[in-house]
Amino acid sequence: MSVIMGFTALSAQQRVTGTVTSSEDGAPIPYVTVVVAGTTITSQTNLDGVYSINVPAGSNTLRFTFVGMQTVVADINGRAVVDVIMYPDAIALEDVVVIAYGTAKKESLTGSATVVDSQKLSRRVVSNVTKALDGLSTGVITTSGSGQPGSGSSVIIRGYGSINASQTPLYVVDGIPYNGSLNAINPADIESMTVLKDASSGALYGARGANGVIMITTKRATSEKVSITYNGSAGISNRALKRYDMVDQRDFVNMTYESLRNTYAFDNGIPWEVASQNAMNDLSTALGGELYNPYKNYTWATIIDPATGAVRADAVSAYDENWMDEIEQLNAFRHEHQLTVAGGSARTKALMSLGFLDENGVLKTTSFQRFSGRANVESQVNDWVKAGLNLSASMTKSNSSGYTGSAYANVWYSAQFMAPIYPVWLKDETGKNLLDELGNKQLDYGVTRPNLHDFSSVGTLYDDKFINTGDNVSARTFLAIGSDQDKAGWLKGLKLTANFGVDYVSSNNTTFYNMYHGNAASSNGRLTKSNGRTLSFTFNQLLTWNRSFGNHTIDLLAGHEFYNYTYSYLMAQKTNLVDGILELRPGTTIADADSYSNAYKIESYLSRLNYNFKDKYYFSASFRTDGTSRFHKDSRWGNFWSVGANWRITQENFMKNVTWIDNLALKVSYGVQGNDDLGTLYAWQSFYDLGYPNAGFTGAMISSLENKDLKWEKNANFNVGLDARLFGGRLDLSFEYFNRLTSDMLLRYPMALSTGFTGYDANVGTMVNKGLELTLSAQLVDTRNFGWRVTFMGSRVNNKVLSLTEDAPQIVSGNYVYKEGLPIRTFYMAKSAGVDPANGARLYWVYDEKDEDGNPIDPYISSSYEKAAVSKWYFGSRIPDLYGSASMELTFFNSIDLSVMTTYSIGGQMYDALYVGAMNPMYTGNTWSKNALRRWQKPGDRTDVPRAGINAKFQPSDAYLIDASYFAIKNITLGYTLPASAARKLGVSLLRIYVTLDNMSMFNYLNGMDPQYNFSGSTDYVYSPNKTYTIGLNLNF
Amino acid sequence: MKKIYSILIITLAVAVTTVSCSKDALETSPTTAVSGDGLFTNATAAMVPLNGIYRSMYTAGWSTTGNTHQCFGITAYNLMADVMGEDHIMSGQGSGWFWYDCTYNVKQRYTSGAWRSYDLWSAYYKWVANANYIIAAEETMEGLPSDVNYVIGAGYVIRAYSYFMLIQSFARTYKGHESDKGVPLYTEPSAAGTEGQPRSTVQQVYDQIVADIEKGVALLKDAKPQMHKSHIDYYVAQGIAARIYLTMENWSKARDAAAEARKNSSIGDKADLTAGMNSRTPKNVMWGAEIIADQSGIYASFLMHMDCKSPGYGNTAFKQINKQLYAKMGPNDVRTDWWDPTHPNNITDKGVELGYQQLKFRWLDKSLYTGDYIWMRNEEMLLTQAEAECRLGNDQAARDLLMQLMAKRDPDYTVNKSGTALGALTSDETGSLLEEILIQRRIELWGEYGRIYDIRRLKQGFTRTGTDGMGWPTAALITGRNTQNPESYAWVLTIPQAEFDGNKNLDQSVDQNPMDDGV
Repeated sequence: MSVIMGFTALSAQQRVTGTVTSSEDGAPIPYVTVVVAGTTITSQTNLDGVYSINVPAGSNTLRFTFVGMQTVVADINGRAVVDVIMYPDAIALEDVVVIAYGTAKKESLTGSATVVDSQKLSRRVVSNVTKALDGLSTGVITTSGSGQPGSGSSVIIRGYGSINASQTPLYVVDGIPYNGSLNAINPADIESMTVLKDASSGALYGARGANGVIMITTKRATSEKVSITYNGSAGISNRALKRYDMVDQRDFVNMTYESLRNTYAFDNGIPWEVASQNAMNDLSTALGGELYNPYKNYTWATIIDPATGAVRADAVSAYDENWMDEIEQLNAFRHEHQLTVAGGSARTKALMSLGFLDENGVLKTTSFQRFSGRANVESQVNDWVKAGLNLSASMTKSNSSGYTGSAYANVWYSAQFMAPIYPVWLKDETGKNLLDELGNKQLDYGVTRPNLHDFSSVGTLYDDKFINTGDNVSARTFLAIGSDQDKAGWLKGLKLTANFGVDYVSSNNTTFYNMYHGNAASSNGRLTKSNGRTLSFTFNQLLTWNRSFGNHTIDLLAGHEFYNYTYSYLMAQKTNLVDGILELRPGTTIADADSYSNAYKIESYLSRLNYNFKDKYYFSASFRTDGTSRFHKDSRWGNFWSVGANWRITQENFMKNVTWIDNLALKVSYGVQGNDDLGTLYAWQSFYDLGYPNAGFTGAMISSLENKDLKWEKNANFNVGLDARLFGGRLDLSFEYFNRLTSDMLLRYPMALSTGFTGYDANVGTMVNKGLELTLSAQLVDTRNFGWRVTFMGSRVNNKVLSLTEDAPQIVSGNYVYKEGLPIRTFYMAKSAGVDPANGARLYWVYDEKDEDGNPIDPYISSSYEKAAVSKWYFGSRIPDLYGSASMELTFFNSIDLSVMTTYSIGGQMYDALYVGAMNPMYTGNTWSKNALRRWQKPGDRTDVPRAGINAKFQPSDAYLIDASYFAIKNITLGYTLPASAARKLGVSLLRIYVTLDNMSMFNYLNGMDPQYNFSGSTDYVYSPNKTYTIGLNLNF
Repeated sequence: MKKIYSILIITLAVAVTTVSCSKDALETSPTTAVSGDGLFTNATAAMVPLNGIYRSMYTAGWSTTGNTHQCFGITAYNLMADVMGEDHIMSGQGSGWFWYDCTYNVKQRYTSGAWRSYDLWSAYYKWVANANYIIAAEETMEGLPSDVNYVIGAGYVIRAYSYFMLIQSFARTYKGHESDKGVPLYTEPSAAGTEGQPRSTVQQVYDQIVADIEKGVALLKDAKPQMHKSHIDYYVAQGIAARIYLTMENWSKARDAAAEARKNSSIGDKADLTAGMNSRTPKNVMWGAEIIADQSGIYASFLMHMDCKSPGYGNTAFKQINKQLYAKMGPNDVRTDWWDPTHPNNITDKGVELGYQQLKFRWLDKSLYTGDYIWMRNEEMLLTQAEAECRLGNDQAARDLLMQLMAKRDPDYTVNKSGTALGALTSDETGSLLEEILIQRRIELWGEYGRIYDIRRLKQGFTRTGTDGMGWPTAALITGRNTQNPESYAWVLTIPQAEFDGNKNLDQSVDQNPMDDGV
């Protein structure tokens, strides 16, 4: 390698030498550029940090520049030796924002982006980074996510972008769209997450950026100095939400009895006394016989006191077991460890990390483990060439509970709804535990239970297996040619960069249904092994040109990109297995086998212009065209673009005297982004599904209709924002307004079901999201020993469907409707008119006709639920009126830090199917919500809950809509950092211990309900979210 | 040095702007599906879409968005229609499947994509749509005429069958309701944007059904022989024609079609009947599905609902016979093996007596969830022929036919009844020959045919009775429903909401069937 030196021979000149060292560790810095100010004379420090330069007469100033360091300007003043100490460019680094295809100074942004740094991320005790985003950025709504260890949250940015296509943002890891598993990324490896919210910042990801972009940047070495960091934590998890309040044994029997009586009395018109007697007689059959009568001093036939119509007061229960107690793990243990080594030379820096996580779930037998490693190497090979490789590999293993929905094998369903009279453990006729020969309790599989028979929620957790292992490799590599140095001549500022990124996931699943109980008992066990292989890569070539001419700075980019995704799947299933061996080999009978593969490709051409005048006026424009394999070749190319401007008002002369305003900037941007993410990768094509073999014959049924016109859904995004920093940096304020219009919306165009199709994918309809976002951050106290910062974030989004198809101004989907003029997924259901005091029937507001606008004409009250089924009303949606977070950070004596983060959401409604199911049980043997005890019991009762019934006729109605507002304490972290002097004595540069209470509590309108379950306001029988209490240690050598 | 880099940069810059992937790089296609284009060019390839339809006739998961365990094609719909009548008792709700059909609790669920309104409408119309693509290739399909006829003929029969089942589900019976609203008709393949049709009249729908079945029969007459029991051949087509004409009360055509249909099969004897009715191979089976292990619906299958072995659905909601019907059999009738009057399931632990547990339909191999389905038997055709002869006044011919069957059922059986008198209710007995034929039909085809279809075409009513009568559980006595009046809409399904949402030629307020019984 040669060091190129500029040299100008002049007669009168002085030779100056010196050493450049780093302020951080005093080490010499090689390759620092040294320039004689006002000339083109350049030199560079050698490997020992020493330089030598000839300074012409009349020159007295040297300028030292180095990437990542603040530029130093030194006067010679006749000295022959000028030594210089360079300071890290910390302020500049802090304010650099990762944007599409590069970085930018924060104040130069014309768009909307929120940076979440590693410090904030590291406070959250999460195994999947998506769960850490809640409350950290305006405009972002996240779900709580399941408590299943390793699972993530869903995220949407700035409202609801589409009806049928995806609303999920694009995840970009180290500059390349990411297709790996999000739980394969160790959150501790993440330096920052940037949420790109508007067109100007995200349009260069035009293809898939319509729903916003989340840029994840992993850590890299910042200095040559070798640092070794250990982070470790250990903690315990419990369920975060309270449980639903369910009835006790006595009330359960009362409710069952009343239900049986009511069926006779009201549905079959049998006189009350006879109905009551019939119900008493039926109780035993209904509930599974005397074995399940916990009251051993009465039989089922005599348990009800005819005088009170309720369980006799002196009935004594022999046992009372709670199924939720038995399936949930108290204080599930979690610990993680991370070792990071960073450092390098002036030209080459590297960071290597190793991580291990072991987390047990709050549901017994569930767990997640991750081994992760990362190496991030970057090298300025020579003045012209820079190259880097960022490689991560991780192994994950998760044990889960594989059932979902109201399958009774889903323990979140069965244990929730199991009536309290059914014991977990097998009982004898006196109600005592029936022990096996070894004296152990035995699970009761409930062969005569009326519902959930031959099943134990606890048993299935141990008997069945759902194991997933993931092998993940991600690599990001680049090679850049070009130079910013003057000696490059006319090529100065011109760079060519090739980026290649690949994500590989091999996901292995083992599903085992046991041979003793449940649906595989008769086939002596059923084992399924499947493997899914995902391989995606992005290859791009970018040409950039970055030059300053006086007050003008220009930054140009042009490039080409190709993205390729492939997935292949292979599975086999056998029955008749050998107990204890989770492999197919010993199985005798092949029950199923399948394989398929998928492919998806995008090709893009992109360009961008950034212009800056005097750091006062910024202008940016971008254009990108994408072709996707999802659409027909005549419709697949979409053009996406953006323009943006930023006016830094404080740079103006007239602001010079306004001292209390440190920074004031006004930003405006507009642009169009695209979305092609329909569920299918082959959206436009007509297909016959080959999944219909008839015995030995190949068979296929038509599954989709062709639409060659199908094209990109477009999001036109307008953003205006005001950023201000006031009172000497004491107050930061950011205010933004956006208007996001989705057009050519990808929608399933409904067809008459009688055509054999429910519809076809088409571009129809428009929808708008408008919103306001406000961030206020105030440093209330900032003294030497005490710091107090509070941050408030508030966001609001108004969604409205503007147009749908010509034929269907509304599309009904279950309890929801998409209707022009109303928010997406507006609740559409019957309207309750209370409960009839005469007979306890639910009353509804019904109507016979609607006017042209769909408003009911002359509604009246009826108890006919058939009539109610056709008399639906519109009732709001899940979308909150205002949501966000409030947090604060306190520091004492530079050694104690305390942070508290809370989130809130005001407004919106939920239809909690779990609660509705507990108010209207479907099956005998399912239990009730405590709220059902408000039921109507006798003529004249005035209440809001109808008479008890099992599988009674009811219509979903507004009576079950619940306010979705909540307030949650998401995180409290208290840390203690050893003072630097004490740390040095121990030989460490940093030592911090901390305690974190993560996801601590949630306050809402109904115990048990998770208002953050999803974005549409429904619920399902799923793994409860968890809270974690952790203690941890950060150690830096 | 600088020169090298400048050349490099310029070269690569030019490359960047010109580089592009090959023209076809963005063309992708799945491996789980094929384009329909090539499937109809010749008769061999066209067997693929045809076999797809047959597969769906015994498979769950394609007709609804949920509740798939009660939606698995022909046997599911037969079971549904059976438990809607008086002869096929469900002992309780069990896991809930078919219980809503049994207790007449489905019509108001028309807005859901998971209940009967949607399921039946969607399933039959999907068969129509798939058949329409086959029929559309009639003129262009290459291959031997006997091969082409085998495919196209089956296409016509499937369309006839589908419309026939639709019209029986979504309108009252043909006779007397010819001008009632029927169902929308489609005879062309659907494409993106195909407009929904209005409801044709019942007569128009039957006109289409008759045209299609006659075309199908004619084509299949000149087609190759049945390749697999699941395929519709000439004889199966005649069998379906016989069902159609019977419902239309065209007795002579029903008789002729049934007689023709029987020609390739014969009456089963004891060994054919009492092995669990789970094989397509006996000589009496004309049409049925072969269930191989990896194509079994497991829980979503007929035998899971019928067989009372644990675990399953049939062991919690027992399928039992109406005790009064059982009593019609002589003690030596081989069919008495189909039900067990002394089975423990017949009495609840509270001592409430129910019907008699069925043993007619049993798993072939429960560990693999195998057991074939039977969709049409020689005996049904014989009983149809006998009924038609009786209706035509040919009592002797009818009695002879009945004796042919009963000779293989009950050695003690004799019949000397005559006439066609029927009671207003199925339990009002007249002692006529027609009634006798129908009683044997109820016994012979229990669980297989869909009893409610017969009740409706016969314009009878029925009442369920409990402990001291048929053996129905109290919860399924449907005392609030009008099943006594043949004009009732109790068994006329509501049209699913999804149809109105996508069909601008239908108006919910005038085109929906009554939500209640209507009488």
